[in-house]
This record gives sequence, C-alpha cells and structure tokens, in this order.
Amino acid sequence: MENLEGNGEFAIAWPWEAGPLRWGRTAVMRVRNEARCLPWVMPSVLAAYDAVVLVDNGSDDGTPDLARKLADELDAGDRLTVRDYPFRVARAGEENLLAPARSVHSLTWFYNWSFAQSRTSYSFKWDGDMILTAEGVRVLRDLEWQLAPVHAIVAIPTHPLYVESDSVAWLDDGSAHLEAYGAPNRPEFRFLKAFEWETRDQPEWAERIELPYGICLELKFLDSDEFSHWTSPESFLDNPRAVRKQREWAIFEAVRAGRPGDIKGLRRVEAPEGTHVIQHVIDTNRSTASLSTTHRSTTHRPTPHRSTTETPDGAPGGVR
Amino acid sequence: MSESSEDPGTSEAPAPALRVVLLPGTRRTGAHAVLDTLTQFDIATPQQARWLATFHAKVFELAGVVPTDARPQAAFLLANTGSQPDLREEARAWLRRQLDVQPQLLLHEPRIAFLASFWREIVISCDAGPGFVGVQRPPADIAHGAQPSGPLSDAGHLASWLNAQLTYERSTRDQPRSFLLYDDLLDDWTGPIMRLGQALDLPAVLECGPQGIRRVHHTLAEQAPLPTSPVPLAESEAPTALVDLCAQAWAALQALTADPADAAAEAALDDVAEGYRLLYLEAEAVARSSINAAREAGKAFVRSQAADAGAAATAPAAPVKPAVPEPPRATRRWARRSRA
Repeated sequence: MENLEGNGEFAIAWPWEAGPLRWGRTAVMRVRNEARCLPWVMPSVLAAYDAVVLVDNGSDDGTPDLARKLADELDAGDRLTVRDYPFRVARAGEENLLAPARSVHSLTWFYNWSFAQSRTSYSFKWDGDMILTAEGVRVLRDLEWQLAPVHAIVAIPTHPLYVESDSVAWLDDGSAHLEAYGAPNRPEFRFLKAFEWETRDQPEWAERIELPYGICLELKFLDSDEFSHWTSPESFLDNPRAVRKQREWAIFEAVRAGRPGDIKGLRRVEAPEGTHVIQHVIDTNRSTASLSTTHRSTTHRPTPHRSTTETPDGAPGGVR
Repeated sequence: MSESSEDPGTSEAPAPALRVVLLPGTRRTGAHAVLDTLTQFDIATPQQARWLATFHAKVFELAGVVPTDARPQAAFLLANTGSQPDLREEARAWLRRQLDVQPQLLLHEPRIAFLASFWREIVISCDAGPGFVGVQRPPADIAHGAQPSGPLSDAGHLASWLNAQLTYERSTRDQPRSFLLYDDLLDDWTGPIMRLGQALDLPAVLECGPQGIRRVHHTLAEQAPLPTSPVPLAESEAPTALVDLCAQAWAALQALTADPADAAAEAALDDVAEGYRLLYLEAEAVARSSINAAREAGKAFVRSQAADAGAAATAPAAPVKPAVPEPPRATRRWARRSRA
C-alpha cells in the first residue's frame, strides 16, 4: 500500500500477502528514547514472545543499540529485529486528528507499517515501558499453544508503576487499563484511524481472551515527562475517551506535590536494600483480585462475564 | 551431638517445603492407582474434598466447556474464564487453607487436564511448588471403558481423550512432571513412583519408610485391573485420520514416561495437535448442518423458558419460580426429548 508522500521505502507490504506466516507471536515495540526502561522491559518481552520487532522513531539516547545489546546478552539476538522509522509522527490528540491516515506522519500508518514487519501469525502491540511479572511471562507463553485453534483478541490489563527513586515507587492498584494488545496477523485486524489515536480493527467473529490482572506493569518515571506524546494536556484532560490519562496526570500531580494520599488505590512500594524497586515489584507482584472496579478502563468492548464499570478509554498512540 | 542441635536458632523446625501434586484423569485412565499409591505416603487429599469438583464444575460451566470436551479451543475458553480475579482469589484462599494443614497435598480431579495452567499459577502464588502427574493407558482401552453413545461412538471418546492429553501435556511443559503407564504401575510400582518422587521433589515419597511401601503393595494388590479393549486401536471404527493421530500421540506419551522432557516426543505431540486442529475444523465444516440445528434448538428452548417465565409472572396464583439458571443436565435431558 502506497503512502501519500509516495515514499516507496515506507510503503506497507502486508506480511500475509507474501505467503503463510510462521506460527508464533511477535511483540511490536514502537519506541523513542526508552533506554531507561529497556533493561527492565527486554528480558520479560524476550522471555514471553517468540519474536520482537523494535521500531525506533528518532531516539537520541541509544535505544536501538541498547536493545540489540540486551538481546545479545540474553542469547536472543536472533529473535530481535530493529527497524528505523525516521518521520515525525503526529502526537495523540489534535495532531492525530489532522494527520491523514495514509501519511507517513500519521499514527495509523506508523502502526500499520511497524506491524507489517512481523512475520508470525499473531502480533502484539507492546509499549517500551511495559514489563511483565514472572507470572505474566508464563501466562503469555501459555498463549503460544492456547491461541492455536482460535482467532482471538488478547486483552491485557496493565497497571502503572510510578517510579520515584531506585528504592521507592507507587503502584496504582486502584486502576487497571484493559486493552486489546494482541491479535491475529490478518487483514481483518489492521489499524484504523480514530479521533485521538489509532485503533486496531477487529471483526465480530473474533474471539477474545482477557489475561489476569496484576501481571503487566507500565513504568512511569516521576522525574520524566510522560505526556510528551500528546499534543497538549488539554487534549486529554476534558476528554471522555482519555480517563486513564487523566488519572495518570492526577497521580503525577499528587505525588509531586507530596499528596499521594489524595489518590485512592495508590500503594507505596519500598524495595529491600540492595534491590531496585522495579525488580522488587517484578518479583513480588501477583495477579490480584483486590482491584477497585471504579477505575478500570478499556479500549474495546468488555467481556460479558465481567461486570465492571469500564469506561471508554484508549491507549494514547505514538511512541512511549 | 549434631551441628544443628547446638545451634540455638534451630529450636523451631524450618517450615516444610510446600508441594501440590496435580493429578487429572478418571478411573478409566487408571488415575485412581496413583491416587491410592500416593495417599499411602504422607501426601493428603484436601479436607474439603467436594470443593475441588464443585469449583471446577463452576469454571467449566462459565466457560461453556464440558469435561469430555473434544474442541481444540477448550483450553483457550477455560484460560479466559480462569483469568477472572474472583475465581483466582477463591482458589487461592482455598488452597492456602489446605496447605496450612497439609504441606504435601494431592489434588485429583478429572478436569485438571484442562486447568493445569490455572492451577500452576495458583500453587506458585501460595509459595508452593506444583508437580503434575499423568497416568497413561492405551486410548483404545479408555474408549472401550466409556459409555457407548451411538454410531461411531469410539470417535467421540477418542477425540475427547486426545484433546485432554494434548492439552495437559502442552500446559505442563517446563514444569516438574511425571508420566506413568498404568500397566507399569501394576507390574512394579516402585520404579515409576520413585521417578515421580524425584521429578516432583516429593519428600513424602523420597523419604518414606518400609511401612508406607508395604501399604502400597497391599493397596495395589487389592485393586482389580481395569478391563482392556478386545479391539486394537488400528481396528477402531473411528475415522482413520483420528485413529492415526491417537496412535502417534500414544507413542509420544509413552516416550514421555521415560523422559518427561523428551524433545522429540514434545515435537511429535505438537504435530499431532496441529493435525487434530485441522481435522476438527474439517469435521465442524462437514457437520455444519447439525451445529446450526443444535443452535436453533437452543434458541427455541430459551424462548420457551422465557415464555414460561412470563406466563408464571402474570398468573397470580402460580408459585414463584426462583431465578436459577437451568442446569446443564436438564438442558441435555430436554435435548434428548426433542430428538425423540
């Protein structure tokens, strides 16, 4: 598929058109300046998936080289593919709305091009700040065979972990974001343009599985700008589709102001001496039943058997 | 005096290692022989024995899966249901209570074949070590012992057996596990059970005394051997493709009794699983009319139930029916009546 700019190098060659895809699951990471997160992210993503495609979008902190180095250290260099996407991509919010879907500058094109680099039967959106607990790795690995007889959407609840220092973090037990991260690598599951970001298409006949709560964490460093992939804070603060982002903003504000108690469900985690707090959470966090139902959000339809007060929300697109 | 007895820090005995042995299979598979063997050692079954079966029945009903489900996607459906936080917490709380009383626990229930991944996580979250046991008998023998269910009845029984075996084997890879042949157990149980104890690191087996050993001998000697099929698998009336897949799976499962991590056997079972998935897809396509007819019958049943409920609500003298969902057994009875 050609783009508006007529740039043949970044035309989209759908992988399924080149013949049958290899059975397996690929994590597709679209990243910019994630060197800080990668030492935590790469081990679990390489343990959980058969292949990883990392698409770098203009990092200047050595992200692609670090990813290769970490994969080599884990003896998984042959399962990592690194690609470069050199265009400025529209940020979530108004910029996305104004960008034509077939432009190389749109989130939709960026996602479809990135996912077209995978060569396996399933592909998973994976953000550069997402880490799995040991349980999460095992559950994701189960999918290797559980998904074989079905065409299913895989929804994964993620929980933000706000890192204050090497020894202290804040785990948002009070909210979980349920998003459809995985899907078959087929034409029915391409990315479409939505208002503020992109969304992955899914046919009515697709089945769906929701993984347990508490197995996947999103790293947020309190000393970083975690909102730079949005056009502006106004893009999400009054937006009914961005409830999750509003909560993240509220937590940043509260913790930085020394008022974490204002946020219901926010739990302080302190690591034992000599252990980094992120590793401590990876090692100790378990699937949970203690989530409040008031802050769950989802980007897609809820599964009928779960009665939650899920609100329409979405993963802001772009790179993390 | 031993070194440890001089150490004031050892006045309290260290907490015993927590082990949970999971054993699927019905009586036809020979699972009871392992159950009876292990319980002669200090491995206990749960105090609330019925809870496990009731819990599994609930999970299966929520998932829309039956214990003999031959659909390749049965494990997927159960994995989705098993992700529900309330179910996981219920299982975890129950298991914790059991482990408080008995550090080496044996959970035996046929539906574990489809819930091994679920229980693996529950056991680990209770700081215990899971261990999986599979008892193997020739598929023809298992199908032979099943209730006949009409023409080509073997096909359904073999498909159920194959699906459960493939699911359980695949979901227990990379975990401590042990596969035993029922016939080996009857011939000389000491070798298979010692290998099981080693693979699962079970102190109750590894450290057992002569009394336990004697008890096992007596227990197994008192058991009547399970009947074998007079018809070999190759002569089954089931479709040839299914029979071939069962034969391949059986060969690989036997190899796993010698080495539960035999890579060639695991690869062979992966091939069987793929072959079975395609065979099932074809069978569903061929039987599309039956599937559609069953779906329509189900809809008609729901409509008639709703109409009955509506009539009851408007009739002032009628007794109020509790809002309890129709149990699956009643649905099956109705289906049989409608066919008649």
